[in-house]
Amino acid sequence: MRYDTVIIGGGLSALVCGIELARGGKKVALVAKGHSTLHFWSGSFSLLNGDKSSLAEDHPYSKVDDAQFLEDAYTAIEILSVAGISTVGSVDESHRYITPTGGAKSCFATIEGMLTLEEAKTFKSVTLLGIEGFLDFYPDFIAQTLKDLGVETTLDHFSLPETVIRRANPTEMRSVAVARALDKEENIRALASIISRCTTETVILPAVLGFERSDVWERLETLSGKIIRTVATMPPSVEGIKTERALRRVFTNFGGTILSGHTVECGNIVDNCVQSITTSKCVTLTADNFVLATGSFIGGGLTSDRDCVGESIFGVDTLQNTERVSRELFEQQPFMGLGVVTDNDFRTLLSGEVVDNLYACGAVLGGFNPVKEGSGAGVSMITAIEVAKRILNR
Amino acid sequence: MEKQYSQNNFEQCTKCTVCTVYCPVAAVNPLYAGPKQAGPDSERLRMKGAEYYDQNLSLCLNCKRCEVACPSDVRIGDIIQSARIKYSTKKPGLREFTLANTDLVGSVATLVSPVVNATLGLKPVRHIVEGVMNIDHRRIFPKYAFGTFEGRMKKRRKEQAAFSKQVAYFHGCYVNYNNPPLGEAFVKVLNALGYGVQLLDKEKCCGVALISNGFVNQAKKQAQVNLKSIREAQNKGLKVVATSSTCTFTLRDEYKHLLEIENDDVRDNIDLAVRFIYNLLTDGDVKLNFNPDAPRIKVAYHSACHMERMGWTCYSIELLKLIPSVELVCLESQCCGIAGTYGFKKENYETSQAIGDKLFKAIEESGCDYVSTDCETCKWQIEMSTTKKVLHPIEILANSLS
Repeated sequence: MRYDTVIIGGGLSALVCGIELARGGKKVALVAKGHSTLHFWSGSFSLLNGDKSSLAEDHPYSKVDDAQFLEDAYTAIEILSVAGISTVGSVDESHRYITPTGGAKSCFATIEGMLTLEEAKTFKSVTLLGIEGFLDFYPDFIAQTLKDLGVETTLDHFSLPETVIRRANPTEMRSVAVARALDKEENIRALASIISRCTTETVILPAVLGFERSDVWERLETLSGKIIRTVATMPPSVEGIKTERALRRVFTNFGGTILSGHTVECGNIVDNCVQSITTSKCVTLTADNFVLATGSFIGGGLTSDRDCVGESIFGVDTLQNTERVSRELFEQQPFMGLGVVTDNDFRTLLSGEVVDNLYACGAVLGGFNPVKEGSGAGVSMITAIEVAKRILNR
Repeated sequence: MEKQYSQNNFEQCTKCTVCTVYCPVAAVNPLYAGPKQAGPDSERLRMKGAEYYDQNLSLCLNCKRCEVACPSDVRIGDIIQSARIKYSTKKPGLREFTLANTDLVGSVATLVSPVVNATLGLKPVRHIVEGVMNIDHRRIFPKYAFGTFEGRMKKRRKEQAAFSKQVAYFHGCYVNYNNPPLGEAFVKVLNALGYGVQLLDKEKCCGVALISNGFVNQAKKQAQVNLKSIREAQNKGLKVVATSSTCTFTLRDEYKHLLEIENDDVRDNIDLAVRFIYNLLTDGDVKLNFNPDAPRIKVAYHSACHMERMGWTCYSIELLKLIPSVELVCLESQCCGIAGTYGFKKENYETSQAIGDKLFKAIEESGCDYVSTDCETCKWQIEMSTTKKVLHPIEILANSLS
């Protein structure tokens, strides 16, 4: 099959790159292995802790000048809004979101309705409402964070007949199952009446509102008369799944094609140019340009053995470091920075030579540490937008 | 082929639960444990002893959406179906026999189709069928054709043999007994591309309904008959092409994975109609002449589950995009709920319709003139549950030709 551009990957970076190319008029196919790491996502888009100018030369952000960087961050938010995903926060001023274990991390955009640390400070008292038998939400940790901010916090929990049934399979009592139950009108009403009995004006719930419907949060606020905010749960992430689905929808609406469940088995490079790739479903794809958005270790874009960290499809050049692990667990782990090296146009290299039509974006790239820098979502989106620009300008 | 890291495929599971998110049954039935627990989790226990087998597994539709969603190449659906084959002690009854034996029922019904169609259309009859067979009275049966597709093709043997290039067509039960015009549309398109169509020496039902209804030995026998015919066709240099996505999937994958019958030697030679035609149009020097006066139609494409699992929805989508008179919308990929014979059973009717509900709404909201899909049972489900008529991509293609 022939396309203008073939993107390998199905996560945030692949989808953003695909949307930019498809709305730029390109015929694009996205080859996705399974579902993406958005299923483990917090609900907030991080950009960078600290100053961009202090980053090392091989950092992906160092390939983007400051004005472009800012413009790309705005484009990222615009893409989300096209997909119907409303966010709070701004590119110019970072805020902090609350992790499922009560930590606080810096970001530039958070899904509307989710609690930020800055907003939490403005509340005098809140009720933290957990769900009986739901093990992926830890009210005690979050309560501690709120108490440290001086917010008076009451802990409570609820159950509905359907969540009681779900507890028969305790390991499957997960965020998505609860969210699906809360899509039903009778359950929304039942929960709203529980919330309205809370003594505080603000009630905090796990982020399990609205799996198929988009109005559950607003309905609960209207019916209960309370301010309702949510905090991320452990995976699967309801907000992440909704985001992936929304971005897929936008991509398809712009004419993009998604090949789901395909693993790319081999790529054919001749004269530093990718000719074609072949997938596990016996589909051969040709294109003018290819984009590697395969993710890092968890997404399968990078492989590692005792000797080296490699790129899994083409074997393009990667950063290497003999010291991969630090003995101090919570210190910066060098292996996190390993990944694909590119030229300044995000084109990959094979034995030091630029592969003319193979770009890389997102977590497969080397030179950045998403955990320490708080740059995971930012690198995924900004490098995706940069790659799309370069392909459109060719 | 999927990556295998361990002799036991289930060990590749990282417990990420993504499969359960996309399981259509777990979404509507809180009593179903979901693919992770029913598949890889419990397989570990079943290896210890058959007493760990849970009848709950019969709730699985075998849609294989869990496998498409899995980022770790775990064959979750196969694990569940194999466990059912190996451990289920439930004996199939009259209902299962009737639903699964498509060849037998189809052969009889096509002889007297006006009577069968009229009778099965009557409400009181459907209530009796429900009483006797436990087939839900609200389920509308597909109509039977008068005379089989095989019978029609016998008369066209000479005409088709005149083409210098040839393919063998695996028509499947649905084209043979219910919808010969789809087979004829396939012949029309292939002829327009310069190919004559011949049938296999002997074709039996692919066996998908036999497998899901517990007649595994009979399925194995039929698989052997089909593979023998497919091998003969291959020896004559013929590609074997099927219009039905589920037949294609069964012949290529389920024979080996569930029936444990070796088919590696012929797998690559079994192709799906949309893929075969798309590749001819884009790789070769053949062209189709589209009718410039064909009425413009808006088509909503529905990705059938086994089509998704094969990974070939892209061929239907791209083929439909090539037709100038078609405006295409792609529906979000999700199960329609019927899953072959599953939705016919009384105890599954509610689940089946609840699963399809979102799809039915999306279809009505799409404003399409027609829905298109490669699967016949999806067609029955969508036509019964929405106001739209469903056409196979090949029928739309055939209608748009000069």
